[in-house]
Amino acid sequence: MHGKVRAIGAYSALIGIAYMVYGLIEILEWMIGTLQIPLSPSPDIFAGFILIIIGTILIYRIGSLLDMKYEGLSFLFVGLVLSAIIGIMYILIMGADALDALVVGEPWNFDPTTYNLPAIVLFILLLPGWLIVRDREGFGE
Amino acid sequence: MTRLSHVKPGKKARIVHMGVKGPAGRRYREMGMVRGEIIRVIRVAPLGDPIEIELKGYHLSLRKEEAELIIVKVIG
Amino acid sequence: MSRGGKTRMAKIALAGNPNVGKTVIFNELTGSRQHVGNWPGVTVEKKSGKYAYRGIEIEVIDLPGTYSLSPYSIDEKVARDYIVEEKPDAVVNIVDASNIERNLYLTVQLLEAGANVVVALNMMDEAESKGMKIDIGRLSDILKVPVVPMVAVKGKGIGEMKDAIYEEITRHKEHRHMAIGYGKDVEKAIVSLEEDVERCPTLRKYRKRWVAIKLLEEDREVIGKVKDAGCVHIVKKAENIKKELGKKLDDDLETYFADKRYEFVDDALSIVLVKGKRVWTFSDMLDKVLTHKIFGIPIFLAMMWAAFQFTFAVAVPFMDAIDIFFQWLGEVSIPALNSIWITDPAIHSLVSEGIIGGLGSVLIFLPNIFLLFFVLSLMEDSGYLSRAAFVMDRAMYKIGLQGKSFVPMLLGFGCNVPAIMATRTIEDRRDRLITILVNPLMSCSARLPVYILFAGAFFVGIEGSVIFSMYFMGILLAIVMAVLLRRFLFRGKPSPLIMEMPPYRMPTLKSSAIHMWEKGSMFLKKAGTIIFLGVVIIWFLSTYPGGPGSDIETSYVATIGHLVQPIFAPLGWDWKAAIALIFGFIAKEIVVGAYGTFYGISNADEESATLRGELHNTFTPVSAYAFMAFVLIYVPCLATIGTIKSETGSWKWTLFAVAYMVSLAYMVALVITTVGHLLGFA
Repeated sequence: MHGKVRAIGAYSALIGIAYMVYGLIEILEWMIGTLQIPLSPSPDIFAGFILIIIGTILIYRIGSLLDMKYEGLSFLFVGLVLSAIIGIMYILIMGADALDALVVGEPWNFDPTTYNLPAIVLFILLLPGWLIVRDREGFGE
Repeated sequence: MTRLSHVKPGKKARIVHMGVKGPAGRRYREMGMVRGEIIRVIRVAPLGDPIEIELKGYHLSLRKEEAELIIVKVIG
Repeated sequence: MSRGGKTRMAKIALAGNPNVGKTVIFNELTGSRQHVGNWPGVTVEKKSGKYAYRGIEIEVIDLPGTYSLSPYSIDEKVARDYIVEEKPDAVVNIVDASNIERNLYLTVQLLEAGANVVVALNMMDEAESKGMKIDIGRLSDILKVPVVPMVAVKGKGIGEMKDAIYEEITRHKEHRHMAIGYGKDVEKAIVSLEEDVERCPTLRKYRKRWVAIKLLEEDREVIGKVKDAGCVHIVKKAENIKKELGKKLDDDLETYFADKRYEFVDDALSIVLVKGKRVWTFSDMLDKVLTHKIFGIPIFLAMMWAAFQFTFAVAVPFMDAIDIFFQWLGEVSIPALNSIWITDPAIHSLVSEGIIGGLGSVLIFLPNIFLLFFVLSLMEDSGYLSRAAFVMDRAMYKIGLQGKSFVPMLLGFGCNVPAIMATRTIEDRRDRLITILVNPLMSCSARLPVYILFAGAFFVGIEGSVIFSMYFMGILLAIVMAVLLRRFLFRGKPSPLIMEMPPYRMPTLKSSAIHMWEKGSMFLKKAGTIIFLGVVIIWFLSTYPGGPGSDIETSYVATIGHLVQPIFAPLGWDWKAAIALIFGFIAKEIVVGAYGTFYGISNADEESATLRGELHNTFTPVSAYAFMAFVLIYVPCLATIGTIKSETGSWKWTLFAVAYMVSLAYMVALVITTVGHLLGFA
């Protein structure tokens, strides 16, 4: 179990860093304008702020997680929950836009920057983290 | 003996005297804050008030203003 | 058992603490056969439903969730009155097994009141995961009532529950003898009072032991009942006994009774309950971070932002659909009326422009309202709402409100209607009234088009800051008003915080959808009448005396506009502004449309360049800014007024709200104009 926690824990910390980087980019884009960056992050200060929060939570107690402590697991768990809420929210917004195009009867022009692709992609990449939260074997105070 | 508002998070204490009077006092009693009950302080809210405690297997939050009136004995 | 003809009828009630899954069991029992209304005379929601079982038609009443049966809050009074006065054939007491120690306090009170209790021991799975073991047979023996273990969210135990309810309502009703011993001295007093109660004929419908105990507890409701029954002497006797006992017990009797009840519960549980070791639950893990010193507040703000993002983006297709629907309805209504030989142009105009057009402009916000209810229900069902209150309480307390006021205030930025309905979670009436009264100052989404129109016309380059200043002004005024209301109208401190933090639970789509539907349709029913009347009146005023098709400048609205224009003259507004504001009573976004009509610009929206150009003829930047502030502050819309009425249950407070907001709006606009001119702006 310890080996698995180590591997997945380190992996989710990496995703955490990616969250922070993209969060910073979104805030930067909001200030100076859209940049050419993979996954086309949205220039949105609030969304950027939230990505940074998720990233920070994912790496804040990484040591404690690797030491098999519940405190560290708590931070991973909340990071996963927030990542899921935000990721799913953007997927639903995308769906709603597609539905609206249908209602109004116009073609749907897909503009990636409005759907915060990083939030969706990182949510999916973070899914393996749920494995440790589900098992929770060997964790202690 | 000390006031509940002074008990540090993580500590357990036994209620010695419920000093909250009136309808609020009645409500606390109904929620299980009776003399002799053992409670555990869990945390203080980010802005310093209210506090969260555990008793009878559930969690309750109350302000320091009322916790001030509840006399307890810390038992570890 | 109620009498009746062929089918047998029975009434049962669901009672229990908040957060024990009562609603889930109610839904499982009654399915879709539900009715939501209010208890007579109070603004407490009453839910009832029906189901048939083995030939009995059973009516289920969902009582408000309460921690106790003392009549000190409206919810508790409603629940208790129903149990002791209506005497339902069975009371299903839903107990959260994982929180059984506190939950059984209510059970004990129900039994004391003489209710025919069936205990639903819900959330057995959670209790098990906490390592708790409950001996259900022995619990049933001690309480002398049936106990049914359940996991209602998974549908477990529903069948057994229906059986148990059936047994209970068909059982031959002999007196059950569960009674808590209150000690020699108090028992003597109870027995002696019981004898008197028995001799008082009108009190016979109540359990005599209950009346005796309540008299000793100095329960003002029961004392009133005994007095009304013409048995004042019993009350006097009880008072004397109390005095004597008080000396002997060295404690006041109320505390004594509560202590003894909990003692009984503790004794019972020492026999039937094996507690588990303390384990880290998912709930503990979530709380570790969600109420964290550093992360607590940022996460809360992030959640609220996500709630709005979700609500407004997902509402768009539905709003467009409603818009298209009403446009189509307006178009087909005239041929439809003609086809049934109604050719009067007045009726055509009433139906297509007045009713359909007017309702369309208000109902377009339904998707927002419904989705906000949905999000709110997710927050409530998951248990996060009480964490939000916990995290924000300190800040709100400073301005005379409390933690539970914060979420309704935030929701106000979306729509004031669900925001005001969300104040139901605030138990204290005074705290709740203040929260309702200042809520409309939170700038709802419908006001945004007005800001966009005017900011785009007069503040090119700084539109963002100007619009932000509107929101900021709203928050500032809400704080000032809350402080003032607390200082002058609702003196004293906010009520003490005694809030349970229930364990987090995964909200289900089904229950959130049901919740959204109930709240949304309740809004439609309640505020609907007022909205309907409002749109018809506005249609009449803007169509007559000229009749349909006549110029709006000859209508009553114009007359009124000219009449009230002098009031607005110090603010530098013409009569058109006055009319736009009158239209704004229905809904704020109509203000933009009204301006479009005046200048004969069809399909004017807030981005329209022609409209912005026209506005320069009648407004200066200062008077435009004052106008924006006025729109922010004065009554949000008819729907909000309707909601304030239905939630406060009082015309007095509704009128007060309208009056204070209109005068505050005028004062603020006047200050802006004066200061603007003093600073040398035009």
